[in-house]
Amino acid sequence: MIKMKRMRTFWLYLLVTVMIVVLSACGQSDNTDNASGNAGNAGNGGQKQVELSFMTTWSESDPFTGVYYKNAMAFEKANPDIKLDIETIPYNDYPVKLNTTAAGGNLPDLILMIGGGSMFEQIARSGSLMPIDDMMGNWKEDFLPASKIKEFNVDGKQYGIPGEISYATVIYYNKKIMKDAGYTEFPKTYEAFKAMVKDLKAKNITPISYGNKTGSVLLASLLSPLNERISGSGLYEEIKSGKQKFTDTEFMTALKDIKELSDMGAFNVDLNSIDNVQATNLFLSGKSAMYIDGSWGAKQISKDKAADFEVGFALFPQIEGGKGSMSAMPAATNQGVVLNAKLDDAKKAAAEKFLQFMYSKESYQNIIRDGNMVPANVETPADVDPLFKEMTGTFAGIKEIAPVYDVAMPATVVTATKNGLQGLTTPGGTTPEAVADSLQKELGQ
Amino acid sequence: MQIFLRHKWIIAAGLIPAIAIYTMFSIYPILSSVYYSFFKWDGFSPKQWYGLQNYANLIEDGVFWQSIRNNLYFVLFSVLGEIPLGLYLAMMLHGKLFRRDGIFRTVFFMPVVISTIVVSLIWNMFYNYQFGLVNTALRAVGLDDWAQNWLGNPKLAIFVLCIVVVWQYTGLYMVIFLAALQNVPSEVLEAAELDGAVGIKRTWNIVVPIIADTIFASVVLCISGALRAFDLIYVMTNGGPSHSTEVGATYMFSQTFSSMKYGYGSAISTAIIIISFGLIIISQFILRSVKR
Repeated sequence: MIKMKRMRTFWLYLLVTVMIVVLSACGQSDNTDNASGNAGNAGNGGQKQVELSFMTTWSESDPFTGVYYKNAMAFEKANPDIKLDIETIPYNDYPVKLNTTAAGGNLPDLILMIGGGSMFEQIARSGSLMPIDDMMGNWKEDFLPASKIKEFNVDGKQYGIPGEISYATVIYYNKKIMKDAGYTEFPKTYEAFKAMVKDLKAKNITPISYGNKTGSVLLASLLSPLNERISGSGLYEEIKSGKQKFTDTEFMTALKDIKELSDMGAFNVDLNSIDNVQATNLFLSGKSAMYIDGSWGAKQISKDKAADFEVGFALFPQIEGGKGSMSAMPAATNQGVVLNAKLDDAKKAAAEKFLQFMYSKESYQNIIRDGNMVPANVETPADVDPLFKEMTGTFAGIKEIAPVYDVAMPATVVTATKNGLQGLTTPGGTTPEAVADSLQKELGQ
Repeated sequence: MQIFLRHKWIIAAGLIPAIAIYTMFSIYPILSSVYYSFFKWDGFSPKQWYGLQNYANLIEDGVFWQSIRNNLYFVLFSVLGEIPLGLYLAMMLHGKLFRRDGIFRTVFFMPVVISTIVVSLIWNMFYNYQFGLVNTALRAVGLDDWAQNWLGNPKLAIFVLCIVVVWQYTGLYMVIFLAALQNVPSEVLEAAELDGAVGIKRTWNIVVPIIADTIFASVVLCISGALRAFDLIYVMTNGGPSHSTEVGATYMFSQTFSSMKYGYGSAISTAIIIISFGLIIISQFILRSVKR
């Protein structure tokens, strides 16, 4: 009797174990079946609906990308036969996610490229993306000039269209603090700028606030404009092709300038431990005379500033004897949606509709209304925030676009530069020579 | 039970699901990581055989050794901070004074339950240069010179982070020790008291030896926890400024996923595994000889 009972217990255990294994396996295959079912164009219930999976950073509540999300929602509403399956990834994690999914061959149907640059080019060259040259007839040259969308062109093939153009460096300044310190006009030369910084510091005002915790701000909004002013827009190309080195005079001068600014106390003490939101708040609470960030920084300023806070906009000053000029500015084009190379015809047609909608006159005007500058030639809507209008006016004279370094350089060099710049601006940190050496080494590998 | 003992294969069969899952999600990734470490690979283009070059570069990489040194600081602070503090708190709460107040237990244990991200953000605010609690307090008592950019000072930042780790995990060891203390027979303690062992003497000579096994287990937990440190640093400083708070895991992450050096990143993770094993073995060795 007892033995039989034991046997029974044993078989019961075995049965449970087997069931767990079988059921979990079943569950898995079920899931994949569903996914592939949805991925095809036959939705459940016979209604023909194309579903496009879309990986992006856009989210409704994000001040930077909310407008794109809303445009996408408007697209869904206007096209009930197309459904977007949106996967939202936070901005800072996006490059990693993009790279790993691309490397694993698991890209969704539509993919957001935050910007052009080395990672995008690598993915495009690997053949994972679909060129959209056959769709480009939807956009005329006088609406969307080729020079403004070239960051999304690789080896002569167009892969996407940018939604906005961002200038990497805007000097936002507190008009009241400047006026009280005796400056009614923003200095036009770098020497005068430095003198002003020194003077402000002597008056116990923090001259510039930066939020460089992630390391990308100093790279985009200080190193890039300095390089442009010193060497013109071609320096990085020359370094990449081996004509110049990071350790040569031109690049070194920029590094030394950054060190000099840091040593004279131009920056907030905690520039490397706060992010740009916190740095903006410092500026808006009157704790610093200037705040430097890309043109994207204007949104938070406009949203959070007190009613009587007067903000001025300035371009990065001219360096005497430098090869650059005030009519050039490092800038990047952003928010282009690209297509997976493996799309079938139904999906491709749906994707084309999506692109047409997202980069139409109306969508661009929404983007402008939200406080961005766009690559397309569209009229500025009348109801734009006057602050953005003023900023756009500051950039009206820009004729040439120079590369932003964190877009142009390969990832290894970007990481090394970010760390190097943090070291340069940390008391007791690294020397310009050591930074240049480490960059050259990374580039060589 | 006999039937199970007689047929060992039944036991083996029962273990298979667990082993299969463990192999799939732990052993296999570790082995493939070791495999990748022999390649130069950006995660994208075809892999290039690189032999031991990644390891050769690693040995010469100052940042890697700095990150390992920071890991060791974490280990030291954890073992010498969390365990004695946890033991002290456990003793206190086990004592007559607080035994009935569950609230203290809850308060001390709270940091363990809070998500690391929240902990990081809270402490980031404490350490903020402009308006943080620490600097505000220092300035309020006239110690303006002591006010620091705590997380931005390369010499201090790692120790500042160590404090957060100790704060976060002391509660965990407190609870473990509290459970162990409740198993110490009261007769033994009474007998010790009769023999005149009170206070620290009683703790050191009677209590600690009785719960020694728990302490040893906690030390191992502590070491492996400190070597795994990642999320707190990733949120608070992201390894910066300029690598000064980098630990092995964050350096591996940034090399692999920001610099796109998958081969090198794999070499770093392999090195971390080896170093961790080494440390655990050494600590076991030390603890065993202490036990004797």
